[in-house]
Amino acid sequence: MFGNRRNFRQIEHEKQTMLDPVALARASRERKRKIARNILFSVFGVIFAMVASWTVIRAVGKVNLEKQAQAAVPVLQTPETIEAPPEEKQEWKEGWVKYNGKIYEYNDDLITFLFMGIDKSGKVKEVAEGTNGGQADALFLLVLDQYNREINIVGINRNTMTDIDIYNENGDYVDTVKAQIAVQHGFGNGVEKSCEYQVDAVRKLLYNIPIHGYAAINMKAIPIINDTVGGVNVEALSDVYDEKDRKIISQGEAVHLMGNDAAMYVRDRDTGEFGSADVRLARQKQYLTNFVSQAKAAAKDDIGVVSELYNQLMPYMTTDVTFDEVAYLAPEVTGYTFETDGFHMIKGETVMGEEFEEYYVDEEALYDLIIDVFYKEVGLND
Amino acid sequence: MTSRYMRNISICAAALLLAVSGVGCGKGAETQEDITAETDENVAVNENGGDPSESNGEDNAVTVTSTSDPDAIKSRNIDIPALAAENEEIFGWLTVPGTDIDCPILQSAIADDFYMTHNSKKEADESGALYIEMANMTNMCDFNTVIHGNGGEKGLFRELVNFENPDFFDENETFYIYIDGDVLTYEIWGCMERDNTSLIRTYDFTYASGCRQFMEDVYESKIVGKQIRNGWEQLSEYNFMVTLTIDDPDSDRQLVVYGTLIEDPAGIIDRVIEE
Repeated sequence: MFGNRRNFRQIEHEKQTMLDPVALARASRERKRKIARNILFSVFGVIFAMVASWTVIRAVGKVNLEKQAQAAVPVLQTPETIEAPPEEKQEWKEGWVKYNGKIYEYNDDLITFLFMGIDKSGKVKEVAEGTNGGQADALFLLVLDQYNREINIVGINRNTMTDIDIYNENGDYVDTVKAQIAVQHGFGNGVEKSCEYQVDAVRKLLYNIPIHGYAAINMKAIPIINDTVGGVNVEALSDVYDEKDRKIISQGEAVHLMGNDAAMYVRDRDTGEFGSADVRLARQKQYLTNFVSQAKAAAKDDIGVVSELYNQLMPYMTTDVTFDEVAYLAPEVTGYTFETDGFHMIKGETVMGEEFEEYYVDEEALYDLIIDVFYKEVGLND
Repeated sequence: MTSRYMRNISICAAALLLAVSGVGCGKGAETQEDITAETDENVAVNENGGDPSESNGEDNAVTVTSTSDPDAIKSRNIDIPALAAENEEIFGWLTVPGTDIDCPILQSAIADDFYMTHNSKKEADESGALYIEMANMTNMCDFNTVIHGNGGEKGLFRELVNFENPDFFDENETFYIYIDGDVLTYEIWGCMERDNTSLIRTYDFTYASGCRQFMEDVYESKIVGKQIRNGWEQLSEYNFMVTLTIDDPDSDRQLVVYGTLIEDPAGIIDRVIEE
């Protein structure tokens, strides 16, 4: 029965084979060419889809970052003409600043991000409003100059005494007091609100410099970041101990930091020792300097390391920087220069408070740093 | 038939993706220079500067006082009732020597920002007029009377930015407000940028505590370019202040110039201070 139900196409094929084998062979070759063409179109189609998607993602990220940068730019306006050499008329513009006999304006080519290291283990999770958000034990402001293609980093001592806004368990503002800047992140919900409070505190400390984005990373994530870029080399600035108080690194030792060693290198601190925060900050500065170089090299070799890093960090990170913004920035930043003098520490002095160490900023030095890093000269002198 | 159908589908899909990637490449192909140029477009630069003696409009005429002599300025006859007869919302006149700011002050009964887009004749005009919000009193007896004006190329407060220049700030110490029956002299003691929020809504100036909070914020705020005149490091809630500020809804910062009353010949400026 089944032998009689033959495929119509099969019957036709047999007929053609007997009647016109040449035409049949030609038709067969044509069919194969068509199949190959279709496969080729499909492959190109997939490639174009991937390229288009990546390009669109980067374009969206670029647009978002531009909007944020432009929103912070002071709108300059036109005053009357002031005295100037006859061959060159200059006008005082809104937002200009005179400092040490020179005129400066805010460098609107800058994009800034605040990175916070939070003293919490485990993955990020929202907590009830109160004081359980975790303290920002590491605070670094990443400053990207899009025009000069430079990276600068400003390090902030976690004990810097500054205005801290106090919020109650309902999230309502209560008061502003002077306290260590690290504690600001403790208020809020441990995620976005805490970060926003911290960003606000840093912004006010730094003369209201715009901060375009933030990333708060639980200390648990340090080994992940570190190992993703292949580890970081340091010559240890001090002895480092692990959670069980065992010495794992000796001062002066040349170390290739991997895993938990990297975490302890940037976290370890003997709170009973005066100035321990300063010692740790020096290690953090060193680590970060070397990490940036390592990360740039790794990203240059394989830009995919950026998305890998972003995805691996997500469970341990609170950030308002979106993936499309990272996708836009990362390939750009790998070409930026980062000099050793591009790492700026805010000068000041540590003193012992009633209970905890307190760091008092040298305001003159800070103002100098603000002008140096965030402003550019416009060339109108006395 | 089927293979032809699949071929057509593949061709259409590839063409669509080509178009999309072309758009994306076009957007993404902008260079760093393009980014800088686009950002620079936010800087509105007027190459002309503007002749302060030119009129911006009939009743936006900024009649520049040609003298900086305080006595001459104080003896000017500015007939506030006559001006109010033309527009009942005119209650005062502001003169800032060293600038071309010399014009009426108004308070709208319709909307706080009415005179941002209308001149003192109530005509639509991008130059606007100088105005105070409804929360301020026109008798100038508030702790802080905030006078708004537009900046930009044609705004009446376009020359206020000069006070950001420390030399200009040092040399130009006063402004004058004429009200019916009095000429008030204010000493300029501060110039800075602040967040672009309403001072009147941010601080409750009807209470001494609100006044003190404002002063604390002014003195303690860390702002690049902030200027405080020597001797004015401690204002009190018993003073009478005027803030001159440029309206710019597109900016998150606002320029403010602070002055405090130092002369009240008619002795009519007074208020009750509540704790």
